[in-house]
Amino acid sequence: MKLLNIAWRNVFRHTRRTIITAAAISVGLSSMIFMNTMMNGADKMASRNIIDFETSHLEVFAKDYYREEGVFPLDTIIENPRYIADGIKDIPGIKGITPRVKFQASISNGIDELPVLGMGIDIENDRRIFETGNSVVAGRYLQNSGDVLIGTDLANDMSLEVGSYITIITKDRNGTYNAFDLEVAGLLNTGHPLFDRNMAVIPIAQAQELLAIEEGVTEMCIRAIDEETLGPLKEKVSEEIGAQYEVFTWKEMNAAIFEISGFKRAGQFMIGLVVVIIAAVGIINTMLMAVMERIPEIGTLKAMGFTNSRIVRMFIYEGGIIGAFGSALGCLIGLLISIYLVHVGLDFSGLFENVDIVYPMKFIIKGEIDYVNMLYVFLFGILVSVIVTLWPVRKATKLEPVDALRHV
Amino acid sequence: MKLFNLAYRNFFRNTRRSIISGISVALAITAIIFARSYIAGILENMSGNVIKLISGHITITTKEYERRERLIPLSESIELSDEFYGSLPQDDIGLVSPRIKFGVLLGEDELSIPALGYALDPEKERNIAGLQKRLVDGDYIKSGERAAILGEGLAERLNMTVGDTLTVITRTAYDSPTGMNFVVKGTFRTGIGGMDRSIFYIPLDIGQTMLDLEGRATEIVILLKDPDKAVQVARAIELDGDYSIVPFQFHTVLRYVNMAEAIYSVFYLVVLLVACSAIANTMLMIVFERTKEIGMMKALGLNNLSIVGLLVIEAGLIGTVGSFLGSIMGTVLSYWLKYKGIDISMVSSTASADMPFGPIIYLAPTPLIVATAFIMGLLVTIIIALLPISRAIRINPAKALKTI
Repeated sequence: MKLLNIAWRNVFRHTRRTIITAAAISVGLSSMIFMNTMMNGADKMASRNIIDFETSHLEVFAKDYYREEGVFPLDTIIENPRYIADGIKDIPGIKGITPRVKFQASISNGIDELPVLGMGIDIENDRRIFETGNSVVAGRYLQNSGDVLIGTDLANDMSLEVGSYITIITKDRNGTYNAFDLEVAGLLNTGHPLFDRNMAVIPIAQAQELLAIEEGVTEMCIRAIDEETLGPLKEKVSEEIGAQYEVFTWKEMNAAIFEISGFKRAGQFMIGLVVVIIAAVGIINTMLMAVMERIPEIGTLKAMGFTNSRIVRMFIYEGGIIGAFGSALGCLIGLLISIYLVHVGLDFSGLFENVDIVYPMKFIIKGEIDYVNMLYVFLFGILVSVIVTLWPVRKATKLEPVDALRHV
Repeated sequence: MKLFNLAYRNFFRNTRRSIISGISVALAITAIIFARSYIAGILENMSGNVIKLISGHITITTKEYERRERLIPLSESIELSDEFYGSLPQDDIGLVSPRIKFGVLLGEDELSIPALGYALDPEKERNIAGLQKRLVDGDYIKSGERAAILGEGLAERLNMTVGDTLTVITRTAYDSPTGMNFVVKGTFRTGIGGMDRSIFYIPLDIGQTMLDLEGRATEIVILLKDPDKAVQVARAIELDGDYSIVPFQFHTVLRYVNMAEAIYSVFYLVVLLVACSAIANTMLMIVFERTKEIGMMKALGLNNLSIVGLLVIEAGLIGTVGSFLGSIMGTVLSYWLKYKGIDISMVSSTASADMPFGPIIYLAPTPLIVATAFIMGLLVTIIIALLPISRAIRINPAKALKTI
């Protein structure tokens, strides 16, 4: 305790030097927190988009249906969705189940044709699980056979509006071309680029007719009550429905996206780390000065019976206190920036316009604060400060009291 | 000169401290040179991919085609007349190659995979797209044969190998249905996932026949003798009619990378400021511990300007040593990675066709990058050091001499 007191007082012998050193650490740490907030926000947005529009929490496919992202085969589909729905509806923890039919199609406005992803949805059930129904910004939700919902961006690209007619063309299960005329019932603005730019949503019965798959569906989407414990739920569902079906969680199906995100995180951590390393050199410098200017003092302490380990501890406390100041300041600055990001966000939308960026989100990133990470960053800052202090302090331990006292 | 000598000797009064202060600047300069070379490398890599596979140095389409580009409207084509070719500035142009891009759904039976076809002149494109160099299997296509080369991923998705038949069913420029069978002659790999999974190439003349575009193309790709003149040459081209003439620098993706570079310059500044804090600290200490000395110099008649000059030169020396060391480390690291390259195929295999970077990024350091980093390091050091140094002005000689 006494050592800590001495260290505390030593820190303030050169207030300005302490502030400058601590500020350098804080810049490094706050940039780490800033980047973490951004990445969390981006990931959360992507996750929300996937869960609320694309897959929900769990999806059931016929065995071997799911091969890779963006391929929608019709040779292996769920022929009897009712059997699955009945089989799993009593499993606790399930909030809702809805069938969907996804298929590759083209739509034509009479002049141009564009490949899109067609999706047949259960008009009533789908709204209970997905947000699609709540994202209609013009016109209305699906009601009748012959209605189609398209994204605002797609409507723009093809000069369509509510009430326009389009033709949807696809190959059915037998490989025969099939087409329907549809009326645009409403426009979607979901924030999910796939939905806004590339999707035509139609009633499921119509999709089944178009693809000649009778009662079949390509997938059953399951929303869980608790999204943190999907593992056990997945086990229960796959136990119940048997081996001719497969169950995936939304995370499994989007592993690639989170892998990219992992790369970006690693890259940004490196940037933060570089800043912290440079700041650490600053700490080394400061502590070296502290040791050098206190050589007679250290000699006195030693002559009075201070052991080397106590002297080292005293300096480590000093380095730690500077580190703690820097870390606290860094976390505070990081927190303030993060709060700004959470409430205002950064608008990158002008930057990307028509570029397909794979990541399922539009580019107004809102931050998401991770307090646990912030704690780690705080501890990391202190840890680095303490570790780098060891080197300059080594010198203090080698001093002979007699020589040190003579040193001017 | 005397001041410089004095400062030089002062530098070595506490060599270790001077060097450590310099090291933090050196690390910052290394990081900056690396980061800038890396971004320049990405830009070069992306420009290369964009120029070769997408736009050439200059792309000419009709205005209407550009407006509806996402829909790939074949009806908006350009007639490849002698008159058209004649109106291009021959002196600057290296190669002119017409291309037709068309969207199709591929796959037999119930399989439907959206793909992008390019009809191009196989001989001319040897020097533009250079696909003969990217083949992983089979041979390159020749004019006049009904053959196609497929992206590796696309072939895999279609379950096809060399020798199989690819059926293309689409619509002509006049919106009537059309179709043709092609022999799969080869598969290629660009390393950009989005392209390898969706693109195939056929000879131009066959494409023109299939799409009812005899003697026409939807886009004209131009390679220049001097790529740096692309903007200038594009401006100078005068054509009859509504054409859109776009130099590659205006490509959205490249604009994005340039923007990213601007964002990164904030990072450079932050790194430098952090690094210079060590020097600021050192200068603070120097002024503090030499109070008596400075007082004496003042008493001996040295004016404030000289004292500040003395200290600035000392800070500058530290900055120079640091910047120099950093420049050497940064240069060695960047040039080493320029030859070795950084393999980012893990990322680029999932990249979309709109963001064509990868699979290997070669850093692109230039003497300019190194020189600016060096000068930036030196300048920021001196500017930051001025703050603590200015305290020396306030030293009162009489008081200073009395202190211990």
